Amino acid sequence: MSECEMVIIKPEVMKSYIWLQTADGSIQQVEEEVAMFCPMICREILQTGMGSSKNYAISLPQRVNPSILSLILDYCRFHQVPGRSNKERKSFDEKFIRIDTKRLCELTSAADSLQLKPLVDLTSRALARMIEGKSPEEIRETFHLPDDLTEEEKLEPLRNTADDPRIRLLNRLYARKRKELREREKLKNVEVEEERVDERSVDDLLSFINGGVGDSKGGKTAKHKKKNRRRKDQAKGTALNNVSKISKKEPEYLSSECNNGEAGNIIESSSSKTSKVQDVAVDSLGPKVEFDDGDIDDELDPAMKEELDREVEDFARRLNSDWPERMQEILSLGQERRHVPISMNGNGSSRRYTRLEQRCTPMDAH
Amino acid sequence: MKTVTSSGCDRISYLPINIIENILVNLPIKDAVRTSILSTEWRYKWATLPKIVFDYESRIKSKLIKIVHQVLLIHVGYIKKFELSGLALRSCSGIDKWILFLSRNAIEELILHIDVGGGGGKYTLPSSLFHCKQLRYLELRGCIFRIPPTSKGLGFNHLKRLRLYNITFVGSTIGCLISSCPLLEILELDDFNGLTDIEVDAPNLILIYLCGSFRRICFKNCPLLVNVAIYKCGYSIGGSNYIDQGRRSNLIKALGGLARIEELKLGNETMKFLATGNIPRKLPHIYNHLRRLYLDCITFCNLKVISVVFCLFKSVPKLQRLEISAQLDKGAPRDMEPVLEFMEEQFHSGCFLNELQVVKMRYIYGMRVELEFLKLLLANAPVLETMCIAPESEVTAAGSNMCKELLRFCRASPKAKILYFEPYEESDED
Repeated sequence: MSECEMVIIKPEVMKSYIWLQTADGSIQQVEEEVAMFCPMICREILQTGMGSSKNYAISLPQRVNPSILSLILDYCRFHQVPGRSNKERKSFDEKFIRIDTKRLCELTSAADSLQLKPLVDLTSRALARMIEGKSPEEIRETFHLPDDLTEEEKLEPLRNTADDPRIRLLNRLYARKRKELREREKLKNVEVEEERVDERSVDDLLSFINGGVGDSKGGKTAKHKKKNRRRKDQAKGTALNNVSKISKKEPEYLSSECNNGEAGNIIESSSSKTSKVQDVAVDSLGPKVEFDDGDIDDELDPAMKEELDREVEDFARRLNSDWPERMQEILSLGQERRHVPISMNGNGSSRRYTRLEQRCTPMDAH
Repeated sequence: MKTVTSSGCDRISYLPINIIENILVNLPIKDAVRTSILSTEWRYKWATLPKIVFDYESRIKSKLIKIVHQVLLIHVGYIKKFELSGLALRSCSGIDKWILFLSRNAIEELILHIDVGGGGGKYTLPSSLFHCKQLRYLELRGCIFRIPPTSKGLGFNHLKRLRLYNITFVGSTIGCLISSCPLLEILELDDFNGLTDIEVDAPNLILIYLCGSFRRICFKNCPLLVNVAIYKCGYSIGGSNYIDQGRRSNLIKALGGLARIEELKLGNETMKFLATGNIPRKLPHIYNHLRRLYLDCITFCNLKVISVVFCLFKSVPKLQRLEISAQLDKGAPRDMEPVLEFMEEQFHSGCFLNELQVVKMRYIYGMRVELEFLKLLLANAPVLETMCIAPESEVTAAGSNMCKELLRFCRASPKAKILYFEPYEESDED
């Protein structure tokens, strides 16, 4: 194209041309005022004096290929004319960016390497418009992005990110503990001392692991006063709950381990006999599920919640046994859950069996 | 699970970081953050966004505080601009921490509109605000601004523009704050209270807008000041509203030191404030650059106010545009005689508005004094081009009388046009 222009040129209008070379080696020539619109080219010309002939063509950055270069030069050619109105420029711009996404990205990249800021802004805004308001699937399709995040990473990014099951567990435990202690204080003043000891130990534990997450719970109890009342009723029924939960849980652990046939027998017999207890406990399980760390619970489905509740109960018991063993358990909780009840804590498992035998005797779980 | 369609491979994710930032900056904050779930490349691209804007368009209805917490926590690097405006906050917990966090991230533009709904007290800004040493632009709304007593570490060395709306000041005077911001160019204080004295010592100040209550004002060192707007409100804390400071008029004290201004707006009770004390015939300084004068709430029956007006007229030889809004002084008697006499004197003292081109009079009633005033202007403005008159809305019957009178007046300028607008008809021409 530029060669045709050279032929038609009138002798009295001698335009001067600048020679540009793209990364692939091809050389183009372009009118000087158009080329000077690009700051990078302008600087090259003024500082190094290159570009005045074919042999001394200005080599453009690698990101500029010939087809994109012609686009950019069209842009420069239009905008470098001083007399155009804003409206004209705007409508040119709007038509100009109606190209496919791939070319738009290349254009942005090339304009950036030539330091042509108005064009970079224009194309960036166009790309932003393609992203704005679209769903992630649509955006991925438009730009051919790989869908390579795990489901977990895809969780709404601004959600509360206390997703670690350990932290959740401990949060729930702490909240539950606090509520029960408050109820206890109302009922019996004498035993406050003991409770306080317990609470402190829970506090220490939690602050060691959690780093003070418990503080945030303070503000939330007010919200759930209704549920507090329900909890009072359940305090009396905790014993029953514990039993039923144990019996529910055992099949999981033991069946997976498949070693202690004896235990299995005991379990089966107990599970049938405690079925009534279980039923009662299940009903009261419902309201227990939603307590005061409401934000964390929001995203769990009921089955998950029940399972975690069971785990918390189990945990609560274990917390009240030996301290060092407790610590170990907690730290290894995420890794070796299956082994914990049988291999690690001889105490716990044996106690569990004795409780099964005692079945319906109300226990002081704490 | 990589899906590569036939036509494309991923071009956008590998653009240089400055382009990605450019793209994300053009998105509302919600969309920008949501790019983190597009792909692994994009997971934290938004986290270096230099501008975080939570405004009305971002449509965050609930959990705003939480969302801001999360965004700030995940963010990495400098934050150039942070805006929180147009959204109803239910509580102010956490704002302290945000400001502290921003002060550690070299924030340059901070916009906080803290309109706490529900009748709680106003939010008091934390002192960590003064640790934001890189601030260029600060806009605050609806809070209590506590200026620390010592000026050590008080100021913002780079602050160019300060806008405070609906602010209660507590503590030291604002003079300290202003003088500790050496690069300050624009100062806007709208609807403020809690200040007594305003002393403006700002070598780079170009524009100042004040609308609130104060007792005294003076401009000390403002060589570049071009635009001044003072809308004084009644000062309600103890004592008389307009302190008679001995013989020297407030007019001289307030407006002295404004040698280079080009535009002056005075309104609300400023005129009454300036009218206390002895009013000179003309000011000691001549305002050679003042081109536009906007006077609001001129009570034409008040001799002192009119004296101030004429005093100003005599000191502004290059005035080109004059806009006056009249106001009825509800309490005062409508005794026009002193004013009429005064204006009669002025009439014979010669031309003084030699460059006046445009005059706009609003809300006038067609009273004798007002018409005499207009007559005076017409007779003394040799290059006047347009005079627009928009009367008060109740004036319909007297309207045509006013027109007749106006037509009768002689005009010093052959080009003068008189445009009479019906109430509510006026459009802002030129």
